[in-house]
Amino acid sequence: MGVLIRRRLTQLVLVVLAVTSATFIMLEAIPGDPCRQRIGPTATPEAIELCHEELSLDEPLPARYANWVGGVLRGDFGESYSNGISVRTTLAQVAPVTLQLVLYSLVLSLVIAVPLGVLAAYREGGKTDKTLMMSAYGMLSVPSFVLGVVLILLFSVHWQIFPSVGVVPLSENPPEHFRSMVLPVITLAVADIAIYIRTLRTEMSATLREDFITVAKSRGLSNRRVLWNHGLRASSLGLLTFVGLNVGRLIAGAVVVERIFGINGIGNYLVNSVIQRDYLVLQTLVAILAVAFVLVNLLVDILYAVVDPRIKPGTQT
Amino acid sequence: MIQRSGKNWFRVAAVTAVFAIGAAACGGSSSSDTDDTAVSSGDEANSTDNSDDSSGDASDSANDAADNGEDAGQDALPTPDDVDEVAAELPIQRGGSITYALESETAAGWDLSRTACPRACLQVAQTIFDPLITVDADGEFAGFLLESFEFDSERSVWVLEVRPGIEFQNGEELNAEAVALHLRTLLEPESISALALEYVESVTAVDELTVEVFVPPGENGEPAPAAGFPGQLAGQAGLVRAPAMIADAEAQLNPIGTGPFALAEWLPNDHTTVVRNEAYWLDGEDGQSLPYLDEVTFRPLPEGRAEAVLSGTIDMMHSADISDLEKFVENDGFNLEASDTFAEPSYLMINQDSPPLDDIRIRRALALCLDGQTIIDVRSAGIPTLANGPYAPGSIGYLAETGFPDFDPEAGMALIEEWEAENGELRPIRYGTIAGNSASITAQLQSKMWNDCGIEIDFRQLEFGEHVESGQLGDFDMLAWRFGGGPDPSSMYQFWHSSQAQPVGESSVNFNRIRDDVIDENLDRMRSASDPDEFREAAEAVSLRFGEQVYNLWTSWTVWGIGYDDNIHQVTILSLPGGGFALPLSSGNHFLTEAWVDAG
Repeated sequence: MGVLIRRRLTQLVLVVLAVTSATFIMLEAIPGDPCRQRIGPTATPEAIELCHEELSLDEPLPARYANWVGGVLRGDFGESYSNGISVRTTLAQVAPVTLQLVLYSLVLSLVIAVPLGVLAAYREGGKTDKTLMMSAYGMLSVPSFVLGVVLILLFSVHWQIFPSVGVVPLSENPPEHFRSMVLPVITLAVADIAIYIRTLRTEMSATLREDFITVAKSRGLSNRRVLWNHGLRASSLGLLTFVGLNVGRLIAGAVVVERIFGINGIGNYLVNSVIQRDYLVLQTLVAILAVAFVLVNLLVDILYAVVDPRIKPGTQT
Repeated sequence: MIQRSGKNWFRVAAVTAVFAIGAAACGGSSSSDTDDTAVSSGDEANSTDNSDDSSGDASDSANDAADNGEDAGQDALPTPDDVDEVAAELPIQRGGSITYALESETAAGWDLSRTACPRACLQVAQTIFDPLITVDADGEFAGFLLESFEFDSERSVWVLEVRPGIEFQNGEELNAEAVALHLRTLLEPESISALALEYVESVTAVDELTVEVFVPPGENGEPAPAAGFPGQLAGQAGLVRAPAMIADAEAQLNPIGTGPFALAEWLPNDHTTVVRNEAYWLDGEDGQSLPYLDEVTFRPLPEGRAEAVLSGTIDMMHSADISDLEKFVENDGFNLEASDTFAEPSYLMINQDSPPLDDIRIRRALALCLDGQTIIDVRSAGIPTLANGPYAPGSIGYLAETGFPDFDPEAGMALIEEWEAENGELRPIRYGTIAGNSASITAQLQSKMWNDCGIEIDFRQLEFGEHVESGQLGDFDMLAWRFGGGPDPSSMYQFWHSSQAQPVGESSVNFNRIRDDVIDENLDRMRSASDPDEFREAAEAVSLRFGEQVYNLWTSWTVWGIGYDDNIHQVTILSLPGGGFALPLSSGNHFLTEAWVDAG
């Protein structure tokens, strides 16, 4: 376990350096000047020059990157080019929202997908299986931006059951918080539900043909116990891998969902930092997302050993 | 006190646009009184004198134009007379809060001397800051924080009298020194207003409440180019910041004005909450201080604003998207107020430094091949009116006929053939819009029309920042643009004058690099005009020149509207300190000072 963690942390440093340096170079290459964004179209050359000096944009690229890395190592993520607000302050405000959104979506999708995936595998080839697979196809084929808009029109505008924009903080009003999360979470979770059902169904179908399942049945264990205690456990590795890899997709999905539902999370912060050419913010967010992705997959590796004690952590990847 | 409320109608405001600042804040606007030099506010708001001042006289023409009812059309839209008389009978209620959806966030914060302040920004800023000057419901200038403003042509100074007894939200006194400090910082190179106020030489507080702004005459004794000054003070530049805010290194986070609300919380990209300024200096109908509302929360919502209001999640929104506005027509329980008078023109900006667009035949061909009315009918339900020049109906300089080519594809094709016979095959024209589905569909429709004339279009969707930067640096052939508007034609001086045209690759506020002696001459005439007829003639000459030379392809006058829950009242009312009312709705912006919520 210790070896795995050390190895992954080394990977983490390399991944973050690679991703952030590549991002830095790409940001430099794309058109757009943070100072023109901040001041507006009527900016005079003098005002732009002063702004460049203020934001140290007149320094060479390597120096700026080194300054940024140095700041991050000291825990200083810098300040927004646009408004001078520290990135750390804003992150503290927006990160919990996105984490909640992703977590709720993950929980919802697993709670729905696992039993349906097991059921589809158990009824493989039957009407239930076919219905579930067709439904999964359907769910996968609906883009989240379409689903989100449809949900808003139905549940917000027409029936006025759920709000169409914003999220009420959990600490402020828990019932309203969950009410405001319903539509965004569903929008984000639907495609994942389909993916997880299909993944689990495939894994489980193969597992149910294994000898140890036949042995378990011959020992007189109930179908339920065979499915849930033996079949599901053995089939979970594939699902776990998918969940880990899917974190990146969830974050990308959060960008879209936060935009549709006017949620001020990391996704929205990311999009606005691009629009506003707020490179420092963008750079920091990219680094944080890269770290999060690596850490989640490290966690998945560790969970392999929990699910199947025969596996030594790190050998599955 | 007038109480008004629309009832599921478009209400077309008769007057508009104090803030002639387009999406990128092109400064203020101007309009004024008839005949008078000393354009006064307060009880003297409508008084006149016969002194030979420049600005007031010149701006007078704007009022004439407005009075002539040269409206943009919109026959399908109800007028401000379509009010809910039932709501007018309701007693005003104090307290409560509203949530307001804005089309964008003011990412750079609230130091408006350092950053452009587009519509969404102004909507918030007008709650925190009061203007020195505003435009009244008749389209005339009226002092707000200023009791009077008068140009002394002998000394070549604008004399500003500050209204006494007003405090900023931090308790500092609004006096001549505070106003002078505010104005002086606007002249600094990093100020967003530096170019627009380049003709101002100095600002001095001469006593407790009097400020003098020196505008030197020309070197050869020409009249001072001072006519546009009131227009500037009626725009972004006139929103007065407290001395403490000016001294604050983080002024963008800590705005302090004299406005009816004070900033309580700003979480960028999420919300801006302003709360009632308990010490506000204007009183309501009940004798207590305004505003009536306790709190307003603004939320930036680039998408889904109308749905948010219709679902009850948000109380009010503004939009220039016709499809948004139409939703309020179709649903009960909501009000809509819309305006296109003095509106910003929407147009395709043509780069004069990008051959072959420097050839008028190509520009005319582009105009002749574009069926603007069909595009309006197809894309905007026929609601906006086809634009034909830089100045909207109601503004000085508006002409029903500017010489801008009507749709005539055969004539367009003939020009292309003529040009190609001399120069060879026409290269594809680069056409850029801000990325978005709606813009893309419109651009495809336009491109089809040009293709039918044999003009190839290289269509590009640009992210907002890239779009703006393309304009500044001249890296374009044609860009979809929305800019200008307002009743003062002289406010566009720096955007069209050749003195501000820089070569491609260098930053220029004369975005399409217009270098035209006729336009220069008439912009200069407007700035220094003391005679309203001369001012009007100069503005009309600019209008004609734009039409003839086809520097832009004018598409429509932008219709802005606000949609809101019908339990909110007086959302476009502002009683002026000297009597009368401010413009109810100016390009989507309105005051919330007297808005109130019917709790029940």
